[in-house]
Amino acid sequence: MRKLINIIGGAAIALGIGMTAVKAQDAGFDDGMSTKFYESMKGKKVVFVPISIGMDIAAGFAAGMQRMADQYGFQLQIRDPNWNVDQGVQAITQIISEKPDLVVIQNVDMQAYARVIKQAMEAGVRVLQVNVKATSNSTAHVGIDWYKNAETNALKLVEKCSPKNGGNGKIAALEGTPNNPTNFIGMKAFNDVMAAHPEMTVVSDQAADWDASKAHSVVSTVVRQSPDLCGYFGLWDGQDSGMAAAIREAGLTGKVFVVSQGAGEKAACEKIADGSYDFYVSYNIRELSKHINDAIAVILQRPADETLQPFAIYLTTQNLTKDTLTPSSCWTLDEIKRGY
Amino acid sequence: MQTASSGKAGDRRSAYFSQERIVLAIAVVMFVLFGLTLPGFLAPGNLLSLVQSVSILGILAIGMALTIIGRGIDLAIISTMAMSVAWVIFMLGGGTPVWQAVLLGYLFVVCIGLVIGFLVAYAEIPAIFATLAMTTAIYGFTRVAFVDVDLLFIPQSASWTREFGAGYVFGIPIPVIAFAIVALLAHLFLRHTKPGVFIRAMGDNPLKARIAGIPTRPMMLLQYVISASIAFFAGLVLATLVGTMNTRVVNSTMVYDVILVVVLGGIVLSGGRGGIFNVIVGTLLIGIFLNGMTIMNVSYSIQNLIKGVILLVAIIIDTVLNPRDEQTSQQGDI
Repeated sequence: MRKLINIIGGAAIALGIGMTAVKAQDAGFDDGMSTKFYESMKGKKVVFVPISIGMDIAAGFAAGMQRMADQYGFQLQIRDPNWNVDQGVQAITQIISEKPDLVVIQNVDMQAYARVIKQAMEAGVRVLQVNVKATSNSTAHVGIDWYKNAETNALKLVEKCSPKNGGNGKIAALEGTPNNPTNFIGMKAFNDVMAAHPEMTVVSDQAADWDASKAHSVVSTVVRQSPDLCGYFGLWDGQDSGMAAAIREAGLTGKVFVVSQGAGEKAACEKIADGSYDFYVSYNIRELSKHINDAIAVILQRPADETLQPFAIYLTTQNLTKDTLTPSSCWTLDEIKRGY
Repeated sequence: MQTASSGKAGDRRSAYFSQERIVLAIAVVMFVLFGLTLPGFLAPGNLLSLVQSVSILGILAIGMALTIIGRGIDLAIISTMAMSVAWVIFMLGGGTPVWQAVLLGYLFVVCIGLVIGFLVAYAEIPAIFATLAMTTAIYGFTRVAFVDVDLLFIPQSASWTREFGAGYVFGIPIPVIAFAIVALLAHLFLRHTKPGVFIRAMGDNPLKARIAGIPTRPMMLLQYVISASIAFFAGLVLATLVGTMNTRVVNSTMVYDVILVVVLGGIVLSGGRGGIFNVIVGTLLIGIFLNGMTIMNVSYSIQNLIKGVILLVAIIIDTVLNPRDEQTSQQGDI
């Protein structure tokens, strides 16, 4: 009898160990955080409101988030207002009532979504702002220091063109749309730098509506007026390709020092390599996209009802010139989708 | 078909002060003023850059003018231009030979023109609504079916095409030559071909034109295919000039700038009146204005303000000198 009990007991223990083993295999390896981490991601709902999903940088963010969602098992939804602010506000209002775990908002400007972001926060929906920050704070912000980027470019022009360094001090600026936030902040940096360097002369400060063909018209007129121009200040590579084209047409490539900035998409690197842009501040979307994913991971690991102190991550930028260019300096959308 | 002489006896008195001439006068005054006061304005290089800067706008305005003269309007002209050329550049990026990409792009544009023409001529949807709806339809369709990004750069493999838009012939920028050629062809078409005369007659009085035996519906199809083709051509010049095509222009106010040029030149929105010379005058005025403002470094908002004032002044002078009455007004005036 005892023997039988022993056998049964042994079998039971063996079965128990076996079952534990099976359970352990299910969870893979837990280093003390990993299981908790994956569980906090699984089944969560994240909604992304881009400016327009066709915009290169928004597509980059979405691709990065989608890869994360696929691997960690949360659900990513995209509501695309396609440049329409009213639709964006409507989408966010709708999202608030759906109570997702996190809404990621790419602001159109500083004002448009400020009120609905505040409403979302009050309704207990966590908000991650990306790229441009609204006037209201939310759970977190992952973005670009537009002031610093433009300041870097303006200082570069001073370095190249200042009479103190042997230049003639004559430079020009090409704005996008004046009331646009990146334009507004960037021009503030430019004007601050110029105020600190009275030896510089700004011969022209015109706007081109972020339109390469308008940029082309303005710049071709300006360089004809001032053929001895030393440098041109640009705020966005998509527009500045028109600037570079006009400068090339006037035979001034290499004579007019062009500073630009942008998201560092592959076409930008090609333009740096061919001398269109002499100095380029890149806010690499590949890296910004990684920061966004980091912020999502942090937020989703916190309990939904916890009041988080707002936090921010500002991107470190790359200063690209023909000499510092490497094959991996720029990105393509396809690379981000594949996880590079 | 006796459009030019009948019913406009009242116009004769003020024909010397047609809007076209008023605008031409404003342009000349501005030109002289800038020439006297702005150093470098009259330099040949600057004058070429002046015309070049409005060439693409001018080409688009010719396409728009043809539809307006035929009593239509093509609000989808920017969408057609941006999306078709975006697709061409997208194909170039994928390694398609240039001729093939351009040919496919052109076929796409012809389809767009036919669809718009069908909606207006056969489904009898007013042109303003049909083309407004087509603006987003073309954008959406192209984005879903062909192009997945909104800012396209001509790839390095096809960078030789840049010689087309950014090149010079005898020292004249190619966009200026393109504008001149399109203007000449459109003028010959309107004045010296049967379809051109039909379109003008149709614009003046569609019912009368129909009774006279003009095939108005096929003419409408033709009209929109032509304006779409001109849009495609303008897009190719634009893209090869600056090396990019930014499909965000679909959401911009560019179409209003095109209409501004047409209306400023004195082409009446209710159709039937005006010619290519009106477009050239309107385009030059805008060109002189923009160039002068850029040289004077006038700020963005003030430029917009002045642009609006010029348009209003032109319209007011026209209204005062050429008052609308029962004789001069047309059925279907906007």
